[in-house]
Amino acid sequence: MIEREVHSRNKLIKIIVLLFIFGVILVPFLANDKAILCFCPDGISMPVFQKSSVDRRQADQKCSFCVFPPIRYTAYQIDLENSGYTGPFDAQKIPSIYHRHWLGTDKIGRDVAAGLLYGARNSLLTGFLSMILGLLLGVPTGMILGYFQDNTTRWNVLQIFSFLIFVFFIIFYAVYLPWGEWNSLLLFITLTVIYIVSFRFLAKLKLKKYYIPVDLLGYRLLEWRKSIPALFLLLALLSLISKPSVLSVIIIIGLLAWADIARMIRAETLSIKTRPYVLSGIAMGMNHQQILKKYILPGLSDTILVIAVYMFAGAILTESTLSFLGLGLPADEVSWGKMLSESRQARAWWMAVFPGLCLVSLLYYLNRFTNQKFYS
Amino acid sequence: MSGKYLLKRIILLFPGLFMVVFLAFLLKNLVPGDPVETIMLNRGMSWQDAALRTSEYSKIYISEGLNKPLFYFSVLPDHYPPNIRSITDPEQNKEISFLLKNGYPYPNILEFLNLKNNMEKNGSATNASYPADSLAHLILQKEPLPEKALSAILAEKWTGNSRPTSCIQILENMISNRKSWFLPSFHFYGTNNQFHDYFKGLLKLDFGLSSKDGKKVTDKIFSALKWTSTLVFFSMMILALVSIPLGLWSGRYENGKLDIWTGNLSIILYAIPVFWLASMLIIFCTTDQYGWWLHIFPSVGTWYDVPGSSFLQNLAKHASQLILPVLCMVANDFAFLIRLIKKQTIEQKHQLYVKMAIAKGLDEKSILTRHILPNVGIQILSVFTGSIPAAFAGSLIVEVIFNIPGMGRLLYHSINSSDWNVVFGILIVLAFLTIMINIIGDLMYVRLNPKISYHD
Repeated sequence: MIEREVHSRNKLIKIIVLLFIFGVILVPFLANDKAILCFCPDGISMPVFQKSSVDRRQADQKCSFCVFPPIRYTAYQIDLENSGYTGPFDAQKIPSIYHRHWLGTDKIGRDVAAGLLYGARNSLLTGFLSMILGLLLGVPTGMILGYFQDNTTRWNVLQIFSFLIFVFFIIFYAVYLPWGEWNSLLLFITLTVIYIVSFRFLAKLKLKKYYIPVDLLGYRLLEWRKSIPALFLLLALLSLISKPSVLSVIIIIGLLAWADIARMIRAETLSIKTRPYVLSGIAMGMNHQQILKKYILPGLSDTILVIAVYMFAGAILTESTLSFLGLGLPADEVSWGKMLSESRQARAWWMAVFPGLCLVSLLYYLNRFTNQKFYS
Repeated sequence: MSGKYLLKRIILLFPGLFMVVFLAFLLKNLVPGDPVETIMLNRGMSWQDAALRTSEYSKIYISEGLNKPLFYFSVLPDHYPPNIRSITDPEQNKEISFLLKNGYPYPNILEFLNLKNNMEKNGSATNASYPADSLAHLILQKEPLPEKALSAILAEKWTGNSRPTSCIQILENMISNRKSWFLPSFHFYGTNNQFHDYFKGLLKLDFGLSSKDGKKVTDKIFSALKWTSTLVFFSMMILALVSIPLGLWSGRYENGKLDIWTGNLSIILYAIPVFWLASMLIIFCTTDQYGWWLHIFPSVGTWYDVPGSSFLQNLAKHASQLILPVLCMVANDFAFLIRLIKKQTIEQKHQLYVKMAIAKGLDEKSILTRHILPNVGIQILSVFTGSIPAAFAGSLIVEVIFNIPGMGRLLYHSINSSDWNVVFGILIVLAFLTIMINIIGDLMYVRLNPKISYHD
């Protein structure tokens, strides 16, 4: 049983790494207008790595032998000869069979097959980075909510007071100081250091201590966030940004995933906290930090993995939905969702079928892994 | 017992709703772009004359209540004026905000702007043209200029009367008074603020006016809500009618043919994004382009309400066009629900009461429908009520694709035309619906399941 789980986990990690190698590194070698390798009179060259777009036809004539990628177009390249939705089975004006658009072209003559590959890169990158961002924010939050609950943290009045003042000043300066200047950064660091030092000092004072309902406050916030449907909130947040970029889409998807991740991690932490080995750690007199690091986090690793895959699939789906609605990635980026939305306007079946199949198969495999874990 | 629980839930509802309203208000004020400009653009107002435009601008600015402070109180750096929003001229407002942000105190800024205006006015008349822009440029530089350099520049360019000294005085004051260290100061405004007005409007179900066409947002949202709730109602009906029998059946005959088929199909359906399913169905099944036999559904048409006809008449007219959207909306949910019902059925199958029923000699059908189904129903009820808000949210894509005049499409178009009153009104209405449906679901759960009681 355990062996099988480890096996499936390794397999999963392997698949994600493979997807990444394929998506991020290999794409330019699979679809490109430049040759991969050229044996020329003046030596062997690799035009893929050259930035300048030399006229390839001339280069072909000079060189004795060239190795080309299977798809001879990039996703950004416009083939004017075959613009206006040329289908895969239509007659195409191409110099040779190697230049054929195997999966057709779009309105302005970009190759669909190349678009699929470059779109895969964008989807994987957005999904992966927003998942990482969500995990980095959500896992600590969930752990803190689940571990400290309402009956662990005790602060005295001065501590509470200093915390509130610290939060107040951080927000105040974050709003009013001009960003991107070294002295404002310095101010934030000084404030934090002063706060930590004074907080440590205040903790030693012998005053009456009160329980801090960490979980109550935090969980309420997560519940409030849940009362607004994610897609609607996402659209509203995206409209805050005047110029959408890949990075802004990643950040917003990651921020929204944060609350969901925190909720799941919190539930899991609650169950792990009652296990005997955690209790033994408490009995041994370890402090909270050690227990969280040595007992809770390793216990959460399986859940985190499942959540990561789940969020990865979710982020890819969200990104393509947004692009489909025309609100996601900027106009000059390729994306599966964008191709799908174009297909609807033009009734070009090849632009609906192929990106859709890619998306469905990717989501299907990712879902299968999480399903196996959830229902086993 | 139940009454106390209900009361507690209702009391806890208010902070949640308040937070949602606050969030919506915050976002509404954070969106980029000038609301007055949007209103003028959407209503097709344009002026050749700049003065006329400015006066019209300030008229709209005041009528929208934008000159009031945002909240009941504010925390500002101490060199800020209490309410910067009372300056109606957008150019001046922008300039002042910029200078304030750079740490120049408000009185000095006013002096400086006054000086600049005078220079701009007199510049051509006295021919003592010191370019106002480069003067502003001097001020806006981050490092205070050396006094000598400043006076040299001024003496060189400015010819004529005694103005330069007062001018230099003003500039020097401004530079020497520049704050490098911001300290907070509190301002209280009372109830005469934008949030208070917004909240008061919400209590009267008034979300303000749409900046696009000047109609009431409330009317827009509720006429759209009709279509969305129709969609959600039908999709929930279909979901229940299909998934409950299928789930029960595949639970009863575990690993049977039907079980395996529905299991596989629902996993595949689960992975298909709604928008792809919808596009595929539109492309292949609504035209004759790929063969007459594929033309199964009516094409996606335009929606228009005949004036004078009731909602039901409109619904009857468009009913055939609702088939595809409803199908697309439920496709994803089948997988989860069928699986859950199957799991529950298998669990219930081995309970003692089922054995008792078998021992009594009841037939299989009545055991399934009268004994197992109610017990399964209680378990799936919360999942079912939880999926209603999700369906409201999921209708967005379907509405946009199928051009249904519901809330999702309204939101989408409002975002595209920067109609923020509508956007955040929809957000608040949806949050309210979500919270209410969750409460009703919980109460039904308590009511139907005698095992569960919430004591506190």
